[in-house]
This record gives sequence, C-alpha cells and structure tokens, in this order.
Amino acid sequence: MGETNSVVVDHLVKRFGDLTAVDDVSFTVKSGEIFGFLGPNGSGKSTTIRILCGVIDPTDGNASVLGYNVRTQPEEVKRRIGYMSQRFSLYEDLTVDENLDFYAGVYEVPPERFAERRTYILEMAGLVGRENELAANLSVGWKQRLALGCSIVHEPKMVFLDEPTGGVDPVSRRQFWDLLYEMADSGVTLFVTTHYMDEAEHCHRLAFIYQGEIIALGSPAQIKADQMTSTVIEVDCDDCERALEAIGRLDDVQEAYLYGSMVHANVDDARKAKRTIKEAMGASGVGLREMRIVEPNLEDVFVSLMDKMERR
Amino acid sequence: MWQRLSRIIKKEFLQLRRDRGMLPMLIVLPIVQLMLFGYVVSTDVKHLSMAGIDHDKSAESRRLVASFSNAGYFDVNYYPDNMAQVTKLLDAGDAIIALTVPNGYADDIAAGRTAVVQIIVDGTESNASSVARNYATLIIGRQSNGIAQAKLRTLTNLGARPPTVDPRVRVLFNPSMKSVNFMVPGLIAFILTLSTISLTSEAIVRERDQGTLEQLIVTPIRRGELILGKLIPYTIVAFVQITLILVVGVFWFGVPFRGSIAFLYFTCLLYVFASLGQGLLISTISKTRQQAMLTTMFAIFPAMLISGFVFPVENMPKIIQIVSYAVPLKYFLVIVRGIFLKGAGWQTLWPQMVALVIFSAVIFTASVTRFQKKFSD
Ligand SMILES: Nc1ncnc2c1ncn2[C@@H]1O[C@H](COP(=O)(O)OP(=O)(O)O)[C@@H](O)[C@H]1O
Ligand SMILES: [Mg+2]
Repeated sequence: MGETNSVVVDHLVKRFGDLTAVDDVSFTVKSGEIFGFLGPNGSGKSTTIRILCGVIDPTDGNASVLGYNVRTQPEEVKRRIGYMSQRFSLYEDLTVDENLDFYAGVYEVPPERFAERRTYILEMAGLVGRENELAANLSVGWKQRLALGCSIVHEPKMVFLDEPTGGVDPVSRRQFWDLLYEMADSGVTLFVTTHYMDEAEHCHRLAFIYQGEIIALGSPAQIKADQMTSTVIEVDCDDCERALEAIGRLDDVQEAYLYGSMVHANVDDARKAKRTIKEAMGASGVGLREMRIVEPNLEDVFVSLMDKMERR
Repeated sequence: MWQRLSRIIKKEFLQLRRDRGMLPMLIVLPIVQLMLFGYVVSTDVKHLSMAGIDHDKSAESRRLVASFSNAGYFDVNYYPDNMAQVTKLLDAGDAIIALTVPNGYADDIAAGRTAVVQIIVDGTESNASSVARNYATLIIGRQSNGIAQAKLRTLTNLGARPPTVDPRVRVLFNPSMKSVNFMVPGLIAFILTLSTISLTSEAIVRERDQGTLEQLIVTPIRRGELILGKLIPYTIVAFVQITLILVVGVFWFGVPFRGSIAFLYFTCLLYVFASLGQGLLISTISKTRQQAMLTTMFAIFPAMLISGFVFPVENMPKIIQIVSYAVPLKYFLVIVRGIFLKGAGWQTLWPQMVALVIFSAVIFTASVTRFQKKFSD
C-alpha cells in the first residue's frame, strides 16, 4: 500500500504586520498518522492550523489538505475535515444534544446516520445521561470531549485539534488520548498541537516549531537520536531550586532545568560533570540523594533544542 | 442548503429562548416604551391660562371667548381691559395666550364680512405656545365653521356670502391633537430600529466573541446561509413586536388606524431590511460585543434625534436637514405615520419606499461584501 500525504505544507509564511508568526514552514502529514505539532506558547501552532483549515489566508507559500489547495479550494477542504479549535467552540447556552444536532445539520449529516453517530459520540465522550445538560454546566474534560464529538459528527478522514487538552486534568487527558488512538486506528489522520511533552511521545511523527520555524521533524525516536548529542544526568536532591541554580552555573553543564521534582542537566562529558555537580551541591549545602544518567526524553530534547536556538 | 439554513434558524431561536434577559425584554420593552411615550412624555397641553379682551361685548364675541374654555384646552382666567395689561400678564407668565376681539366683531359677522381677531402667544415657552397657537386657530376655525353653517341655514337670500372668522386654519389628520396618535406610529419605527440593529449586530459578534464563528467558518456552511439564518429569526421577532405595538396602540390608546395593514407590514419589511443591513455592517466592523453595542448606540441615537421621531425635521438647521436624508428612519417615519394617520398608500409614499429600497441595497451589499467567510487576521 503506497503511502499518501494528507497534508502538504510548502514554504508557508504568515505575517501579522511586522510579526512573522509562521516563517517558511514545510512538512507533510501522512495519511492515517497522528502528527504532533509541538511548540511553546506563541510559536505559531494555532496560526498554522488556522491556515490549514481555511480560517485565515497565508501570506506566502502553499498548503494542501486531502489534495485540495487551502487557498483556492477552501470549501472542498472544509467539507472533509474536522476542526477543534483551541477554545472548544461550543454553544454554551445549548444542551449537549442541541450542540451535536446543530453541527450535524451544518455538515448535512443525514438524519438516519446522525442517530448512529449521536449514540457513538455520546458513548465515546461519556456523555450518556447528560444529553439535556447545558454545555456551560459541563466540566472542562466533558466539554473537550463534546467539542471533539461535534467536530467529528460528519466522520471526517482528517481532524485538526488545536491544544485539545489545554486546561484539562491528567486523567481526562489520558482518556482523551485513548480516544485519539481509537480514531487513528480506524484510519483517521490526526493533526494535534500541544505543548505537553508526554503527549508528544504518543504521536507517530512530530514537528517542533519555535518562533515560527520548524526546528526538528520526525518520529519521537528519530528526533531523539538526531538531536540529542549530549548526555542527560538526572539529579535527585532535597532542594531543587537551589540545586538548579548551582548546577546551571557550572561550565561543564550546557543547560539545567527542572524535570518533575528533579533536576536534569545536559552535559558532554558525563564523568567529569558528575564530579563537578557533586562538588557544587556540597558547596551550596544541598542534600544530594542520587545522580544517574538517563535516556533523554522529548522534554530534554526540546530544552536542548531551544537552548541551541537561543544561543544562535 | 435548507438543512443548514433551518438548523441555524432553530439554533438562534433556542438561544433566544435560553437568554433569560432577552425574550422578556423583547416583549416588555415595546410596551414600556409605548406607556412612556403615551403617558409620560405626552406633549398634550391642557388648561392653558388665557386672557380674553372683549372690546365688542356682544353675544357673538362672548360665544367666541367661551368656546376657548369649553374646549378644555384653555382657562380664561383674566379679562383685562387694554393691551398694557395683556403684556403684563404675559410677561409675568400668568397667561400664555391672549385673545383680543375688536369692536365691531358681531357687526362684521352679521354683515357677512370676514371678522378679524388677534391672538397673542407667549413665545418663550416654545412647545406649549406652539401647541396653544395650534389649538387657538383650531378653535377659531371651528367657531368660524359653526357661524358659517348657522348663517347658511338661516339665510333666505341664497346669493349672500357666508361670514367667516379669520384665522381659519384647519388642523389636518390629527384633529384631536393627541400626541399619542403621533407617537405610536413613530414607536413602531423606533422599536423596529432598536431591536433589529442591536439584535443582528449582537448575534454575529457574540459568535465571534465565543469563538464559535471560527468554528462555523471551518464548516461547509455558506456565507448567505449564515447571514439569512441570522436575519430570519430577528425579522420574525421584529414582526411580533410590530404587531404588539399595533394592538396596544390601537386598542389601548385608541390610536386611529386609517391605512392598510398589509401595506404597513410590507413597508415594515422594507425597513427591516434596511436596519438588518445596518446591524450586519456593525457586526462586521466590531470585534467585541461592547464595541458593537457602542456602535449601535452611536448609530441609533443621532438617527432618532434627526429623523423626526421626536422633533419635526422642518424645525432643524438646514445642515441637519440635509444629513437627515441619509437616515432611513426618517423615510420610514413618514411612511408609518402616513399609513396610520392619513391612510396613505403607495401612490403617495412611493418616494420614501424607493429611498428605503436604495438604502437597503447599498447597505446590504456593503455588509455582505465585508462579511467574509474568513478572518482577515
Ligand atoms: N490575529 C493575529 N493578529 C496578530 N498577531 C497574531 C494573531 N494571531 C496570532 N498572532 C501572533 O502570532 C504568534 C503566533 O501565535 P499562535 O499561532 O497563536 O501561537 P501558538 O498557537 O503556538 O501559541 C504570536 O506571537 C501571536 O501573538
Ligand atoms: Mg495556540
């Protein structure tokens, strides 16, 4: 089976006045994959997704979705995709059922088909029994799943999700990703933006976007292998804040950052660095519990990448 | 197409019903306005203090003076002897109007000549005095008619000219001079303006505010369907309001309705297009609800002032009169008042109707062109 591309982005540029939000970006999304678009706030993720969905026009460059040019055939694109915007755009003064019914009508889902879809979505979103509740009264996790339901009521082959798990508790986030896996298994292509690194690990392929530019592209394993030339030392101690300060000053450490309740340090020479870190901890009076070399994860990669960019 | 359109209309009505403040306001607002304008802001003037100088001292002249108090509009409180006393009374504000019947008044009437009486009005209180002047000429006019008819009946020699009293001005179309008659048609126009402009501008800006407009843009919905889906519900609401004012105005305030109901509703539809177009335009240039609300205010209040809703356009400075040609409310006021009070039809009102059609076409084109299924940024 030949691989096809659902999204082709070709030298895409978007400027808002003097600000270049998307700066000459090119990448492709393969059909059936979960493509993660990763980057800190303000890096241009939403802008890219809005161009791909036909909400705004690009300043320059081209993009096609499912074979249709987003600039010249936006309506062809819109008919075939689902879009869940960053704000879970539900009608808060409508009930769960009314929201679903509205979007089904707008997408011209035939009534018989809608009955099936409705049952499926309510079950998937865990909203059975809440059909008549106003969307405003739902908790964030439910709102998010209802918003997903509304955007896939017409069974699109391609779905764009802009930070779908923003502001959602960890349990709901995990449930949500289970739904995305299920959709991907049934052959739907997913384009997901996020700034959570653990979510990025779940994607088949990733693009790192930083200040409008893509700085890394590939599968999580590929990116780690390509980008991570340094070693990561994990420091477990009793005062992370002070330890971070002390470690960050060391010449042997490229950068240090908090990772959960521990400090991660990117270093070139692990043996030498371990020694200097130990000394520094002793000097600043922080109790060191343990220090070990760990496999770099995406967060390590990302921090080191951003560090490289900033130094440039 | 129909499925999408009907779904938007259904959604708008659902949202209207859910909005706790909105629906009661749409019903209560017209009634409250009607009560306010019908009772409180009434410009009806009664029991004006009057001075009467009767130099003639005849039965005929006494009848003329008495007719002023009989009508209920005037109380003849003073009977001065000369002009100096009249001036004093008017200066002190004790009387607002004075009637002078000259010597020879009864003789003139008996001889079939035109009798002249003088009316002096205190010009400082412009509203009351103009009303007083109108009432006075009306009363004299009636008196004059009465005399003429009585004379005609008693005249044996048929060639004789009936005598009259000058001034002989008839007040047309609103003979009872009740301001509520004037106000109710005006209110139909005003409420229609208020609710259509603010509801439509609000309806689209709200979607923008909530982020649902962005979601709608990414659906296959067409621009025309979205606009129509928004406008149809508010047209229906506007027509419910018109009917409400009409019913309360006619049955509660007893405002006469002389024209054709079907024609009135047809012209209302013309006007609704013009104001929905304005609302749509406001919604395309406003980014937030507050901005839309303020813009609506800025659009409505000057329009209300210079359209002739409260103050007659003829009394305004020339420049304002010229500006008022760009206010559709002005044309619509002429139309509703014409239909209500004069029973006018399209034969007389066509220029105003054409003006409304042109205005609607221009503003609709402008707003539909501006309302793109895309964000500019
Ligand atoms: N409509 C707009 N007008 C002006 N600037 C914008 C607009 N939308 C986004 N930006 C700017 O473009 C940059 C990228 O924004 P965005 O794509 O929303 O980032 P992200 O989704 O990655 O947080 C930001 O600096 C943002 O302020
Ligand atoms: Mg964003």
